Amino acid sequence: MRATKNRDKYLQLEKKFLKNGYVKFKANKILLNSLVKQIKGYIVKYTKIKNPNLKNFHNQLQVSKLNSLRIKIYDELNKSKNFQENLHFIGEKSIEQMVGSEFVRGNLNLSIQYPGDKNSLLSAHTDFFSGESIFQINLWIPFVDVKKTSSMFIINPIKSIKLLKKIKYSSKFTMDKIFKEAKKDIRWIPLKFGEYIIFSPNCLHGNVTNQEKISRWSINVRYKNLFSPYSKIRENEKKIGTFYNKINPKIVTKFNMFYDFDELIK
Amino acid sequence: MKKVLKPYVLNKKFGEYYLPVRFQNKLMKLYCEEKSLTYSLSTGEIVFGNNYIQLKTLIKNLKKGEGLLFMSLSVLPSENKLRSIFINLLKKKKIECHFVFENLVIKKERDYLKINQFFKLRKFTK
Repeated sequence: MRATKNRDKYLQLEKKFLKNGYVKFKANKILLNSLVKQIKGYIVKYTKIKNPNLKNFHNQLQVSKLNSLRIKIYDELNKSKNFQENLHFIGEKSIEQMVGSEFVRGNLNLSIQYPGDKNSLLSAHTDFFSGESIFQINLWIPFVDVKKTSSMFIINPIKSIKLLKKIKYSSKFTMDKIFKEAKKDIRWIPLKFGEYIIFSPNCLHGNVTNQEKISRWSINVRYKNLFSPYSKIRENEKKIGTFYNKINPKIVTKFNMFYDFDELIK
Repeated sequence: MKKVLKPYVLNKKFGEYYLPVRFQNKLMKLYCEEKSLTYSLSTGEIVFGNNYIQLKTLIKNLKKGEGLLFMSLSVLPSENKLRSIFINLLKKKKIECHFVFENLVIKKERDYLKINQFFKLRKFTK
């Protein structure tokens, strides 16, 4: 009975992901709050702010100082085992459903978007624009409620492919012109604090100037299966060790990393 | 006021070279610091397709006083016809172009000749 219920849930998830290119999940709030607490700790460490308020952070720190703080926090998060473990526990089950349990991941990326700030924009793109694997998923988790322009947007797979074909084959257009046409296809993803999404970065996605009243804080991380295909461009560095730098090998993979049986079947 | 340079980067081989984008960005930033120029965020070309759509968009959106920064002349299309289209676009907008590896700055109309000369010489000496 339980197995059937789990199977149904999985099929629903699959259906949603195939249709929209993303699915929403609920995060463990205790773990999520611990992530927020840690981020706030770094804010206190690197600024004179005693009680950081993520939502209203634009009233606490000038925009000109934001990026240097963001980079400091980014470095801390990517060094912190505790932060990475808590994030891992939040997303583990959903990541496994998407790419399998033997996965690799890239660095954690931190994004902070003040209302009206035009400096931290990411126009519509797919991650394979730069040679990342098409078998990748991205986990995107906001630390405040997000809606409309304070969130991220995505274009569903069918419409993304149409636009990407234009990008690939057209010699007449500029990106601006293509994305102007795509505006009608954009879907904003509203999320409450405590929710996160996993999306396919093959679908066009990005953000625009945050026109809402709150600052948006979010983290995104890229995952793929250890053995799914990597970049097809031979010299591109979007590979293990240079891009995907945390791996989660299973026992038999470890076994073969330890012993040189592979040398015998060359 | 310092000139703003907009870097254009490739995620694949350019000529005989390959350099991960994060290192291209670091070198370009350093180049701007050494030459007292303002470094701006880079634009990466799309790895699939050969229409240089991001470069075209970048040139179109350049404002007065902004120039382009490339790692090398080899970043430009190797095919003559396609390269000429871009050279004409650059000429038309009088865009200052900097090339890090060759330590070359193109400012005046006659300087643009150097681009094609470079490709020809490279071809002869291959």
